[in-house]
Amino acid sequence: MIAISHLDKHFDRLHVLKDISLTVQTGEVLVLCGPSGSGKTTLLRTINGLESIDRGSITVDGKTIDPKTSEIRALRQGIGFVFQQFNLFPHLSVIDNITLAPRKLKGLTREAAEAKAMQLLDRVGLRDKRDVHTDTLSGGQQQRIAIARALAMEPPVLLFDEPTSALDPEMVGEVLAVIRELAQDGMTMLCVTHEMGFARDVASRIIFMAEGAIVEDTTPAQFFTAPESARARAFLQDILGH
Amino acid sequence: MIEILQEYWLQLLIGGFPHTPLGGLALTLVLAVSGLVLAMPVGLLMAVPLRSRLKPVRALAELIIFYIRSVPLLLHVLWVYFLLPAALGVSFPPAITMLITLVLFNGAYISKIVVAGIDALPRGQTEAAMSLGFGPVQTMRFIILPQALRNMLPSLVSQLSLLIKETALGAAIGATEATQTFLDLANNLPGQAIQAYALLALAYFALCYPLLLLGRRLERRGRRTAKIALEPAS
Repeated sequence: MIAISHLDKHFDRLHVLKDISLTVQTGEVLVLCGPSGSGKTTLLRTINGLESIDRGSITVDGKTIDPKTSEIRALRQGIGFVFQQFNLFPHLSVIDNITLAPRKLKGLTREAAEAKAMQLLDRVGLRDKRDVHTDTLSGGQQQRIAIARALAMEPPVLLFDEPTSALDPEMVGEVLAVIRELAQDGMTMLCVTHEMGFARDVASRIIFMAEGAIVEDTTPAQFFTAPESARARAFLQDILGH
Repeated sequence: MIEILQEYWLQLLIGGFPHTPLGGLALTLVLAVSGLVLAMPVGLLMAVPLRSRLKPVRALAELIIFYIRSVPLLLHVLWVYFLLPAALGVSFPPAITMLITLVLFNGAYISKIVVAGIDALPRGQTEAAMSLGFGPVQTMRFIILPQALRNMLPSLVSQLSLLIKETALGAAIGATEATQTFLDLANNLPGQAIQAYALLALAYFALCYPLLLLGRRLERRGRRTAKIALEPAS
Protein backbone atom coordinates (compact mmCIF):
# COMPACT_ATOMS: atom_id res chain seq x y z
CA MET A 1 0.00 0.00 0.00
CA ILE A 2 3.05 2.27 0.43
CA ALA A 3 5.69 2.18 -2.26
CA ILE A 4 8.85 4.24 -2.00
CA SER A 5 11.21 4.07 -4.91
CA HIS A 6 14.74 5.44 -5.23
CA LEU A 7 14.10 8.33 -2.90
CA ASP A 8 16.84 10.92 -2.39
CA LYS A 9 16.76 13.96 -0.15
CA HIS A 10 19.26 16.62 0.84
CA PHE A 11 19.23 19.26 3.56
CA ASP A 12 21.45 21.76 1.79
CA ARG A 13 24.70 19.82 1.31
CA LEU A 14 23.77 17.03 3.69
CA HIS A 15 22.55 13.90 1.88
CA VAL A 16 19.96 12.73 4.45
CA LEU A 17 18.19 10.00 2.46
CA LYS A 18 20.12 7.93 -0.04
CA ASP A 19 18.32 5.91 -2.69
CA ILE A 20 15.62 4.56 -0.37
CA SER A 21 13.27 1.93 -1.75
CA LEU A 22 10.67 0.32 0.46
CA THR A 23 7.24 -1.25 0.07
CA VAL A 24 4.74 -1.75 2.86
CA GLN A 25 1.75 -4.08 2.62
CA THR A 26 -1.61 -3.48 4.28
CA GLY A 27 -1.58 -4.66 7.88
CA GLU A 28 2.20 -4.58 8.26
CA VAL A 29 3.79 -2.95 11.30
CA LEU A 30 7.21 -1.53 10.48
CA VAL A 31 9.59 -0.31 13.14
CA LEU A 32 12.24 2.09 11.84
CA CYS A 33 15.30 2.23 14.02
CA GLY A 34 18.89 3.32 13.83
CA PRO A 35 21.30 5.78 15.37
CA SER A 36 20.23 9.42 15.56
CA GLY A 37 20.84 11.27 12.32
CA SER A 38 20.25 8.13 10.29
CA GLY A 39 17.30 9.72 8.47
CA LYS A 40 14.47 7.61 9.89
CA THR A 41 12.35 10.56 11.07
CA THR A 42 12.94 12.40 7.79
CA LEU A 43 11.87 9.32 5.85
CA LEU A 44 8.69 9.05 7.92
CA ARG A 45 7.93 12.75 7.33
CA THR A 46 8.30 12.42 3.55
CA ILE A 47 5.53 9.79 3.50
CA ASN A 48 3.11 12.41 4.86
CA GLY A 49 4.51 15.16 2.64
CA LEU A 50 5.84 17.09 5.63
CA GLU A 51 9.22 16.96 3.87
CA SER A 52 9.75 17.32 0.14
CA ILE A 53 11.99 14.92 -1.75
CA ASP A 54 14.64 15.62 -4.37
CA ARG A 55 14.38 12.43 -6.44
CA GLY A 56 12.40 9.23 -6.57
CA SER A 57 8.75 8.72 -5.74
CA ILE A 58 6.38 7.84 -2.93
CA THR A 59 2.93 6.42 -3.56
CA VAL A 60 0.27 5.54 -1.04
CA ASP A 61 -2.51 3.35 -2.47
CA GLY A 62 -1.18 4.19 -5.90
CA LYS A 63 -1.39 7.95 -5.42
CA THR A 64 1.77 10.04 -5.56
CA ILE A 65 2.74 12.03 -2.47
CA ASP A 66 3.97 15.47 -3.48
CA PRO A 67 3.71 18.35 -0.99
CA LYS A 68 3.71 20.88 -3.83
CA THR A 69 0.36 19.70 -5.21
CA SER A 70 -3.01 20.54 -3.69
CA GLU A 71 -4.04 16.85 -3.76
CA ILE A 72 -1.68 16.37 -0.82
CA ARG A 73 -4.39 17.62 1.55
CA ALA A 74 -6.82 14.87 0.63
CA LEU A 75 -4.04 12.26 0.74
CA ARG A 76 -2.89 13.38 4.20
CA GLN A 77 -6.39 12.70 5.54
CA GLY A 78 -5.65 9.05 4.90
CA ILE A 79 -2.20 9.06 6.53
CA GLY A 80 -2.29 9.72 10.25
CA PHE A 81 0.78 11.21 11.89
CA VAL A 82 1.69 11.12 15.58
CA PHE A 83 4.45 13.52 16.65
CA GLN A 84 7.17 13.18 19.23
CA GLN A 85 6.00 16.42 20.86
CA PHE A 86 2.25 15.51 20.62
CA ASN A 87 1.40 18.91 19.09
CA LEU A 88 -2.11 19.02 20.50
CA PHE A 89 -3.97 22.27 19.86
CA PRO A 90 -3.75 24.10 23.21
CA HIS A 91 -6.63 26.49 22.49
CA LEU A 92 -9.10 23.61 22.14
CA SER A 93 -10.53 21.13 24.62
CA VAL A 94 -9.72 17.44 24.29
CA ILE A 95 -12.94 16.65 22.43
CA ASP A 96 -12.48 19.61 20.06
CA ASN A 97 -8.92 18.52 19.32
CA ILE A 98 -10.32 15.21 18.13
CA THR A 99 -13.43 16.46 16.29
CA LEU A 100 -12.01 19.55 14.53
CA ALA A 101 -10.65 17.73 11.48
CA PRO A 102 -13.60 15.35 10.93
CA ARG A 103 -16.02 18.27 11.22
CA LYS A 104 -14.17 20.75 9.03
CA LEU A 105 -12.66 18.34 6.52
CA LYS A 106 -15.18 15.51 6.31
CA GLY A 107 -18.27 17.60 6.99
CA LEU A 108 -19.39 15.50 9.96
CA THR A 109 -21.98 17.07 12.24
CA ARG A 110 -20.82 17.91 15.74
CA GLU A 111 -22.97 15.08 17.14
CA ALA A 112 -21.57 12.47 14.77
CA ALA A 113 -17.99 13.64 15.27
CA GLU A 114 -18.35 13.65 19.05
CA ALA A 115 -19.91 10.19 19.13
CA LYS A 116 -16.97 8.88 17.15
CA ALA A 117 -14.54 10.81 19.36
CA MET A 118 -16.00 9.26 22.49
CA GLN A 119 -15.37 5.79 21.06
CA LEU A 120 -11.78 6.80 20.43
CA LEU A 121 -11.43 8.25 23.93
CA ASP A 122 -12.65 4.92 25.27
CA ARG A 123 -10.09 3.17 23.15
CA VAL A 124 -7.21 5.23 24.59
CA GLY A 125 -8.72 5.04 28.08
CA LEU A 126 -9.41 8.77 28.55
CA ARG A 127 -13.19 9.05 28.39
CA ASP A 128 -13.29 11.24 31.50
CA LYS A 129 -10.94 13.84 29.95
CA ARG A 130 -13.42 14.84 27.28
CA ASP A 131 -13.84 18.49 28.28
CA VAL A 132 -10.53 19.34 29.92
CA HIS A 133 -7.88 21.60 28.47
CA THR A 134 -4.92 19.79 26.99
CA ASP A 135 -2.36 21.63 29.14
CA THR A 136 -3.71 19.95 32.28
CA LEU A 137 -2.87 16.49 30.90
CA SER A 138 0.30 14.50 31.49
CA GLY A 139 2.59 13.78 28.56
CA GLY A 140 1.35 10.21 28.27
CA GLN A 141 -2.26 11.39 28.25
CA GLN A 142 -1.48 14.06 25.65
CA GLN A 143 0.10 11.49 23.38
CA ARG A 144 -2.90 9.17 23.72
CA ILE A 145 -5.18 12.08 22.78
CA ALA A 146 -2.91 12.81 19.82
CA ILE A 147 -3.33 9.21 18.68
CA ALA A 148 -7.12 9.52 19.05
CA ARG A 149 -6.98 12.76 17.03
CA ALA A 150 -5.13 11.02 14.21
CA LEU A 151 -7.52 8.04 14.31
CA ALA A 152 -10.55 10.32 14.06
CA MET A 153 -9.89 10.76 10.34
CA GLU A 154 -9.99 6.96 10.01
CA PRO A 155 -6.70 6.77 8.14
CA PRO A 156 -5.68 3.39 6.68
CA VAL A 157 -2.06 4.14 7.70
CA LEU A 158 -0.57 5.61 10.87
CA LEU A 159 2.92 7.05 11.14
CA PHE A 160 4.55 7.41 14.57
CA ASP A 161 7.59 9.64 14.99
CA GLU A 162 9.28 8.60 18.23
CA PRO A 163 5.94 8.66 20.07
CA THR A 164 7.45 7.96 23.50
CA SER A 165 10.76 9.86 23.33
CA ALA A 166 9.38 13.00 24.99
CA LEU A 167 7.74 11.09 27.83
CA ASP A 168 8.78 10.43 31.39
CA PRO A 169 9.69 6.73 31.70
CA GLU A 170 6.61 5.83 33.74
CA MET A 171 4.32 7.02 30.93
CA VAL A 172 5.94 5.13 28.09
CA GLY A 173 3.98 1.95 28.83
CA GLU A 174 0.51 3.47 28.56
CA VAL A 175 1.26 4.92 25.11
CA LEU A 176 2.89 1.74 23.83
CA ALA A 177 -0.11 -0.26 25.05
CA VAL A 178 -2.39 1.85 22.83
CA ILE A 179 -0.12 1.39 19.81
CA ARG A 180 0.16 -2.33 20.51
CA GLU A 181 -3.61 -2.64 20.46
CA LEU A 182 -3.82 -0.82 17.14
CA ALA A 183 -1.30 -3.27 15.72
CA GLN A 184 -3.38 -6.19 16.93
CA ASP A 185 -6.42 -4.69 15.20
CA GLY A 186 -4.56 -4.88 11.92
CA MET A 187 -3.70 -1.19 11.46
CA THR A 188 -0.91 -0.52 8.97
CA MET A 189 1.79 1.36 10.87
CA LEU A 190 5.29 2.73 10.56
CA CYS A 191 6.91 3.62 13.83
CA VAL A 192 10.22 5.31 14.52
CA THR A 193 11.24 4.27 18.01
CA HIS A 194 14.09 3.36 20.31
CA GLU A 195 11.86 1.01 22.34
CA MET A 196 13.44 -2.26 21.30
CA GLY A 197 11.27 -4.46 23.51
CA PHE A 198 8.21 -3.00 21.82
CA ALA A 199 9.82 -3.46 18.40
CA ARG A 200 10.52 -7.11 19.11
CA ASP A 201 6.94 -7.82 20.22
CA VAL A 202 4.90 -5.73 17.83
CA ALA A 203 6.82 -5.23 14.59
CA SER A 204 6.28 -7.47 11.62
CA ARG A 205 9.40 -5.96 10.02
CA ILE A 206 12.38 -4.03 11.30
CA ILE A 207 13.96 -1.40 9.07
CA PHE A 208 17.41 -0.52 10.33
CA MET A 209 18.84 2.70 8.92
CA ALA A 210 22.26 4.30 9.13
CA GLU A 211 23.62 7.41 7.43
CA GLY A 212 20.54 7.91 5.28
CA ALA A 213 20.33 4.39 3.88
CA ILE A 214 18.39 1.24 4.74
CA VAL A 215 20.97 -1.20 6.02
CA GLU A 216 18.70 -4.05 7.08
CA ASP A 217 15.09 -4.91 6.26
CA THR A 218 14.27 -8.03 8.16
CA THR A 219 12.09 -9.77 10.75
CA PRO A 220 12.41 -8.90 14.45
CA ALA A 221 13.55 -12.45 15.24
CA GLN A 222 16.36 -12.19 12.73
CA PHE A 223 17.29 -8.63 13.69
CA PHE A 224 17.52 -9.16 17.41
CA THR A 225 19.21 -12.57 17.38
CA ALA A 226 21.44 -12.42 14.34
CA PRO A 227 21.79 -8.96 12.78
CA GLU A 228 23.71 -9.18 9.52
CA SER A 229 25.59 -5.88 9.52
CA ALA A 230 28.29 -4.75 11.89
CA ARG A 231 26.43 -1.43 12.20
CA ALA A 232 23.27 -3.10 13.44
CA ARG A 233 25.26 -5.18 15.91
CA ALA A 234 26.96 -2.05 17.26
CA PHE A 235 23.62 -0.23 17.47
CA LEU A 236 21.97 -3.06 19.37
CA GLN A 237 24.88 -3.31 21.73
CA ASP A 238 24.68 0.43 22.47
CA ILE A 239 20.95 0.51 22.96
CA LEU A 240 20.52 -2.73 24.86
CA GLY A 241 23.56 -2.00 27.00
CA HIS A 242 25.42 -5.27 26.78
CA MET B 1 -11.58 73.65 37.48
CA ILE B 2 -14.79 72.46 39.06
CA GLU B 3 -16.56 75.53 37.68
CA ILE B 4 -15.32 74.83 34.19
CA LEU B 5 -16.64 71.30 34.48
CA GLN B 6 -19.97 72.43 35.85
CA GLU B 7 -20.36 74.98 33.11
CA TYR B 8 -19.01 73.17 30.06
CA TRP B 9 -19.22 69.42 30.79
CA LEU B 10 -21.65 68.72 28.00
CA GLN B 11 -19.55 70.55 25.44
CA LEU B 12 -16.40 68.75 26.58
CA LEU B 13 -18.17 65.44 26.36
CA ILE B 14 -19.89 65.70 22.96
CA GLY B 15 -18.83 69.06 21.44
CA GLY B 16 -21.59 71.02 19.70
CA PHE B 17 -23.64 67.86 19.06
CA PRO B 18 -26.43 67.65 17.89
CA HIS B 19 -26.10 71.07 16.21
CA THR B 20 -22.65 70.24 14.86
CA PRO B 21 -21.06 66.86 14.13
CA LEU B 22 -20.14 64.82 17.22
CA GLY B 23 -17.07 66.16 19.03
CA GLY B 24 -15.31 66.26 22.36
CA LEU B 25 -14.33 63.20 24.36
CA ALA B 26 -17.09 61.19 22.66
CA LEU B 27 -15.45 61.76 19.27
CA THR B 28 -12.08 60.82 20.74
CA LEU B 29 -13.53 57.54 21.97
CA VAL B 30 -15.40 56.82 18.75
CA LEU B 31 -12.23 57.50 16.73
CA ALA B 32 -10.10 55.29 19.00
CA VAL B 33 -12.50 52.35 19.15
CA SER B 34 -13.55 52.38 15.50
CA GLY B 35 -9.90 52.99 14.62
CA LEU B 36 -8.84 49.82 16.41
CA VAL B 37 -11.79 47.77 15.14
CA LEU B 38 -10.96 48.71 11.54
CA ALA B 39 -7.19 48.57 12.00
CA MET B 40 -7.43 44.92 13.11
CA PRO B 41 -8.60 43.51 9.75
CA VAL B 42 -6.32 45.96 7.92
CA GLY B 43 -3.40 44.78 10.06
CA LEU B 44 -4.27 41.14 9.32
CA LEU B 45 -4.40 41.92 5.59
CA MET B 46 -1.08 43.77 5.73
CA ALA B 47 0.43 40.75 7.50
CA VAL B 48 -0.36 38.47 4.55
CA PRO B 49 2.29 39.89 2.14
CA LEU B 50 4.73 40.12 5.07
CA ARG B 51 4.63 36.32 5.28
CA SER B 52 4.49 35.73 1.53
CA ARG B 53 6.76 33.06 0.08
CA LEU B 54 7.76 35.43 -2.71
CA LYS B 55 10.69 37.54 -1.67
CA PRO B 56 9.86 40.65 -3.77
CA VAL B 57 6.34 40.74 -2.31
CA ARG B 58 7.75 40.45 1.18
CA ALA B 59 10.36 43.13 0.55
CA LEU B 60 7.82 45.58 -0.86
CA ALA B 61 5.45 45.03 2.07
CA GLU B 62 8.32 45.47 4.51
CA LEU B 63 9.31 48.72 2.80
CA ILE B 64 5.80 50.19 2.85
CA ILE B 65 5.24 49.26 6.48
CA PHE B 66 8.69 50.50 7.39
CA TYR B 67 7.87 53.82 5.75
CA ILE B 68 4.54 54.13 7.56
CA ARG B 69 6.21 53.40 10.88
CA SER B 70 9.15 55.74 10.41
CA VAL B 71 7.27 58.90 9.46
CA PRO B 72 5.55 61.01 12.14
CA LEU B 73 1.83 60.45 12.38
CA LEU B 74 1.20 64.18 11.93
CA LEU B 75 2.75 63.99 8.49
CA HIS B 76 0.50 61.08 7.54
CA VAL B 77 -2.50 63.09 8.75
CA LEU B 78 -1.50 65.97 6.49
CA TRP B 79 -0.86 63.65 3.54
CA VAL B 80 -4.29 62.08 3.81
CA TYR B 81 -5.88 65.46 4.47
CA PHE B 82 -4.45 67.07 1.33
CA LEU B 83 -3.72 64.16 -0.96
CA LEU B 84 -6.83 62.04 -0.70
CA PRO B 85 -9.26 64.77 -1.84
CA ALA B 86 -6.85 65.69 -4.65
CA ALA B 87 -6.55 62.09 -5.77
CA LEU B 88 -10.19 61.05 -5.41
CA GLY B 89 -11.88 64.37 -6.09
CA VAL B 90 -14.00 64.10 -2.95
CA SER B 91 -13.26 65.67 0.38
CA PHE B 92 -13.93 63.98 3.68
CA PRO B 93 -14.91 65.56 6.96
CA PRO B 94 -11.88 65.96 9.27
CA ALA B 95 -13.02 63.13 11.56
CA ILE B 96 -13.13 60.66 8.66
CA THR B 97 -9.74 61.83 7.38
CA MET B 98 -8.40 61.21 10.87
CA LEU B 99 -10.00 57.77 11.02
CA ILE B 100 -8.51 56.70 7.67
CA THR B 101 -5.06 57.82 8.79
CA LEU B 102 -5.33 56.09 12.14
CA VAL B 103 -6.47 52.85 10.53
CA LEU B 104 -3.58 52.76 8.06
CA PHE B 105 -1.01 53.84 10.64
CA ASN B 106 -2.14 51.40 13.30
CA GLY B 107 -2.74 48.68 10.71
CA ALA B 108 0.97 48.86 9.92
CA TYR B 109 1.87 48.41 13.58
CA ILE B 110 -0.71 45.67 14.09
CA SER B 111 0.58 43.76 11.05
CA LYS B 112 3.92 43.51 12.84
CA ILE B 113 2.20 42.35 16.03
CA VAL B 114 0.30 39.72 14.02
CA VAL B 115 3.44 38.40 12.34
CA ALA B 116 5.24 38.22 15.69
CA GLY B 117 2.24 36.44 17.23
CA ILE B 118 2.15 33.87 14.43
CA ASP B 119 5.89 33.30 14.39
CA ALA B 120 5.93 32.77 18.15
CA LEU B 121 3.82 29.61 17.82
CA PRO B 122 5.71 26.34 17.62
CA ARG B 123 6.13 24.91 14.11
CA GLY B 124 4.51 21.70 15.35
CA GLN B 125 1.09 23.39 15.42
CA THR B 126 1.17 24.00 11.66
CA GLU B 127 2.54 20.53 11.01
CA ALA B 128 -0.11 18.86 13.15
CA ALA B 129 -2.85 20.72 11.28
CA MET B 130 -1.34 19.92 7.89
CA SER B 131 -0.88 16.27 8.78
CA LEU B 132 -4.63 16.02 9.41
CA GLY B 133 -5.31 17.38 5.93
CA PHE B 134 -5.93 21.07 6.62
CA GLY B 135 -4.83 23.47 3.88
CA PRO B 136 -2.84 26.64 4.60
CA VAL B 137 -5.89 28.91 4.90
CA GLN B 138 -7.80 26.51 7.17
CA THR B 139 -4.69 25.97 9.29
CA MET B 140 -4.40 29.72 9.72
CA ARG B 141 -8.08 30.13 10.54
CA PHE B 142 -8.71 27.20 12.90
CA ILE B 143 -5.32 26.58 14.49
CA ILE B 144 -2.87 29.45 14.18
CA LEU B 145 -4.85 32.70 14.35
CA PRO B 146 -6.96 31.78 17.41
CA GLN B 147 -3.77 31.09 19.35
CA ALA B 148 -1.85 34.04 17.90
CA LEU B 149 -4.69 36.47 18.64
CA ARG B 150 -4.76 35.36 22.24
CA ASN B 151 -1.01 35.94 22.52
CA MET B 152 -1.42 39.33 20.86
CA LEU B 153 -4.07 40.65 23.27
CA PRO B 154 -1.69 42.54 25.60
CA SER B 155 0.00 44.25 22.62
CA LEU B 156 -3.38 45.13 21.11
CA VAL B 157 -4.57 46.70 24.34
CA SER B 158 -1.47 48.86 24.53
CA GLN B 159 -2.00 49.76 20.85
CA LEU B 160 -5.49 50.98 21.78
CA SER B 161 -4.10 53.28 24.44
CA LEU B 162 -1.66 54.69 21.88
CA LEU B 163 -4.57 55.16 19.49
CA ILE B 164 -6.53 57.16 22.05
CA LYS B 165 -3.64 59.56 22.39
CA GLU B 166 -3.03 59.72 18.65
CA THR B 167 -6.55 61.02 18.06
CA ALA B 168 -5.31 64.31 19.57
CA LEU B 169 -3.65 65.06 16.24
CA GLY B 170 -7.13 65.52 14.83
CA ALA B 171 -6.80 69.02 16.24
CA ALA B 172 -4.30 69.77 13.46
CA ILE B 173 -6.95 69.37 10.77
CA GLY B 174 -9.90 70.71 12.70
CA ALA B 175 -11.52 67.50 13.89
CA THR B 176 -13.29 68.63 17.04
CA GLU B 177 -12.13 65.73 19.19
CA ALA B 178 -11.22 66.24 22.83
CA THR B 179 -8.01 68.23 22.34
CA GLN B 180 -9.59 70.61 19.81
CA THR B 181 -12.59 71.06 22.08
CA PHE B 182 -10.38 71.97 25.01
CA LEU B 183 -8.28 74.30 22.85
CA ASP B 184 -11.44 76.12 21.85
CA LEU B 185 -12.54 76.26 25.44
CA ALA B 186 -9.19 77.66 26.61
CA ASN B 187 -9.50 80.38 23.98
CA ASN B 188 -12.90 81.34 25.33
CA LEU B 189 -11.78 81.39 28.95
CA PRO B 190 -8.88 83.88 29.20
CA GLY B 191 -6.66 83.16 32.20
CA GLN B 192 -7.99 79.65 32.71
CA ALA B 193 -5.97 77.85 30.04
CA ILE B 194 -3.92 75.93 32.60
CA GLN B 195 -7.03 74.62 34.30
CA ALA B 196 -8.54 73.59 30.96
CA TYR B 197 -5.39 71.74 29.88
CA ALA B 198 -5.14 70.04 33.27
CA LEU B 199 -8.68 68.76 32.77
CA LEU B 200 -7.73 67.52 29.31
CA ALA B 201 -4.73 65.66 30.70
CA LEU B 202 -6.93 64.10 33.36
CA ALA B 203 -9.42 62.99 30.74
CA TYR B 204 -6.76 61.18 28.67
CA PHE B 205 -5.34 59.67 31.81
CA ALA B 206 -8.75 58.38 32.87
CA LEU B 207 -9.17 56.72 29.47
CA CYS B 208 -5.72 55.17 29.21
CA TYR B 209 -4.90 54.14 32.76
CA PRO B 210 -7.52 51.35 32.95
CA LEU B 211 -6.19 50.02 29.64
CA LEU B 212 -2.69 49.99 31.05
CA LEU B 213 -3.90 47.96 34.02
CA LEU B 214 -5.84 45.62 31.73
CA GLY B 215 -2.79 45.11 29.52
CA ARG B 216 -0.65 44.27 32.52
CA ARG B 217 -3.19 41.76 33.75
CA LEU B 218 -3.49 40.07 30.35
CA GLU B 219 0.29 39.83 30.16
CA ARG B 220 0.49 38.16 33.56
CA ARG B 221 -2.24 35.73 32.59
CA GLY B 222 -0.51 34.99 29.28
CA ARG B 223 2.75 34.25 31.08
CA ARG B 224 0.99 31.90 33.44
CA THR B 225 -0.70 29.83 30.73
CA ALA B 226 2.51 29.78 28.68
CA LYS B 227 4.27 28.33 31.70
CA ILE B 228 1.68 25.61 32.15
CA ALA B 229 1.95 24.69 28.50
CA LEU B 230 5.72 24.32 28.79
CA GLU B 231 5.56 22.11 31.85
CA PRO B 232 2.81 19.53 31.43
CA ALA B 233 1.57 18.27 34.78
CA SER B 234 2.88 14.81 35.50
